[in-house]
Amino acid sequence: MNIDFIFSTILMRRVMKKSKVLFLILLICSIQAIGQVTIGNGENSLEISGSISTYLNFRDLDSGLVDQKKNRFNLRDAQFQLEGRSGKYWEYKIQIDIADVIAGENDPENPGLMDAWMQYKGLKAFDIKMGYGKIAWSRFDQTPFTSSTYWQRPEFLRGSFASIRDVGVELSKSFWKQRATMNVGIYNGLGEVSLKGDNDASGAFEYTGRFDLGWPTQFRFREIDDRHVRKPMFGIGLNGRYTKRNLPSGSFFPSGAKSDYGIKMVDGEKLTYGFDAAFQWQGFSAQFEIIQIKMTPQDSTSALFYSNSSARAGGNIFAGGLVAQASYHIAGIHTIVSGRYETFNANDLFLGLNERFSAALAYQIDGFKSMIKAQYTHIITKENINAADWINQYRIGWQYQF
Amino acid sequence: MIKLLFVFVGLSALAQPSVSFLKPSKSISLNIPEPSDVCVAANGKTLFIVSDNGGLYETDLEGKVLRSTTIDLNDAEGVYADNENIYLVEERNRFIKQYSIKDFALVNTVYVPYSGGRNKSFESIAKRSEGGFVLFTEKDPVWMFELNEQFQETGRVKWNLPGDISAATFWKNSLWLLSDERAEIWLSDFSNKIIVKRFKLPVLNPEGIAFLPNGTLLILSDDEHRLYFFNDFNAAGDEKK
Repeated sequence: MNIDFIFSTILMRRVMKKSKVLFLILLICSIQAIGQVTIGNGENSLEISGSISTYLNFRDLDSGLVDQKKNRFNLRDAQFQLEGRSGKYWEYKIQIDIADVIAGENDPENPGLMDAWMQYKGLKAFDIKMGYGKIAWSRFDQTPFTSSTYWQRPEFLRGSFASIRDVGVELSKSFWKQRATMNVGIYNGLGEVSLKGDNDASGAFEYTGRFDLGWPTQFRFREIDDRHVRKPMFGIGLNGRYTKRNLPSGSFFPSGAKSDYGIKMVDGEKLTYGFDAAFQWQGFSAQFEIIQIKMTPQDSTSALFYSNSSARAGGNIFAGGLVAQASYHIAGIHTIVSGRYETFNANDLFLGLNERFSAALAYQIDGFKSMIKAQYTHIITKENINAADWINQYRIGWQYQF
Repeated sequence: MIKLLFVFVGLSALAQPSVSFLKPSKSISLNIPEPSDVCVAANGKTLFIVSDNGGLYETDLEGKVLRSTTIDLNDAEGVYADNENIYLVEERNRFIKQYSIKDFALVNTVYVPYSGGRNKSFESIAKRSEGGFVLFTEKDPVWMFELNEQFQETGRVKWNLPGDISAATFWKNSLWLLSDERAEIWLSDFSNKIIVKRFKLPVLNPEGIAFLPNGTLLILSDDEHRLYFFNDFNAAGDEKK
């Protein structure tokens, strides 16, 4: 077998891979020409929709670093979505991002499979949903990406401190004229890695809960007041998550489960709780969210203690973060301006704190359906855990929904 | 550059009809889940309100429920009543259902095909004085379906509007459109398919519009579960001072 054959084989594989991508993009574009479509027979209805987003990214690296691989165009989303309703009480959804499936990435903020669930709404006591999808937890996580001015959520809410999606079952109930909603769920607790099939050796589950309250009406998960509501609207939320995963000696979490900050999965107990609030009025909107994570490793020599003794740390490690964001929708010129401050700490036993400031500007060509978004992020301070190797990031791109 | 921007915004504003701001004379709380449209009975003494989750209610003019029934619709969004019948339109499955006013018995079911977005479909049904019905889709795009008395489609016209449509009604031969996203009502020229006057509403999630015989405008809020009253709308649509 000579070098030419090997080279041509490798080249052919790359061409084939790119051809598949090109074919899928052309397929998406052809469907894009049709737009959102619904098929129905009077009893069942199925809607086909999707979105495409691409951005250009640049970074100012830390002094002395030269790897510019993040200066690039990136196809962030090439999504298909099937949403269906069967009869009066059944709903289902499948949402897949082809760009991430082909890239083989499992970014929690932007995974390949985003939703695959069914829901029954025929019980008076509650609605029940089962499958894979977003956990009713953080306000920022539950806000759809396409309704945000930003390309990235706050760093500590992008799925590395706690999972955004998982496989499990959720019960939900609204009351007080839908102003209040309660969600409780049980999940595998491995987050996006649950899709690989098995649980970890502890066989434990994660228990989640969220309570929402809006005034004077329900407050939907939206960041921007593009309706310029004439009455002030408020929303608050409380959330909590708990899991106890004592791994048997010699076993490990599945590959990819722990994340870069090392706290997404804990061999021991993990309790996460948070509070969030939102406000909107006359085009102005603001959101605030704070979370705290309490970790209690079963192993007193766990690396999470970072050379501190477990006794000195009281057996616990804490992490958390808070974010405050404000935006204004300028109706006359279809433009949104926004600013965000976030601070987070991946481990209170480790010196340092992360602080970031982001600014975003969006121009709505056709509402949120077609929008140019630009985001600038500046890192103010860094904690030396999974520290970013850059100071400034510039990102501009286009999102389109069909 | 900034001056040019202001000129552009100013010229854009000039191209649209001017907006008047309305103030309600009163509002009442409704004990109806997810109310999605309202119409006035032919005798002008009661209201018919339809609920998203499949309920039809007849109330007095203070919102007190007089009678109700469960209807076999998944997402009822529009209601209209004449002397004998009530007509409901369902958004998701594209049905029109005709019920007898006398006993809420189902008289007729009609399927109106439309392949647009599942939740961007029929939001309203209204009857023209010349006979026949019109249906409006919500958005992307806003289509007006024209149907004859047998609910057969006789025409379809696209409207270019500054927002979505959540309800529509005819009042003294004028077509009034309600936009949820803009929280506005639009007095419209039916023939030319344009907006003549715009009125801003202090209402969250307005989804129903109707007029009482004395000219009082009714606006129904789904999220607020409230019915708003705006007094003294005359035939030209100007609020009396």
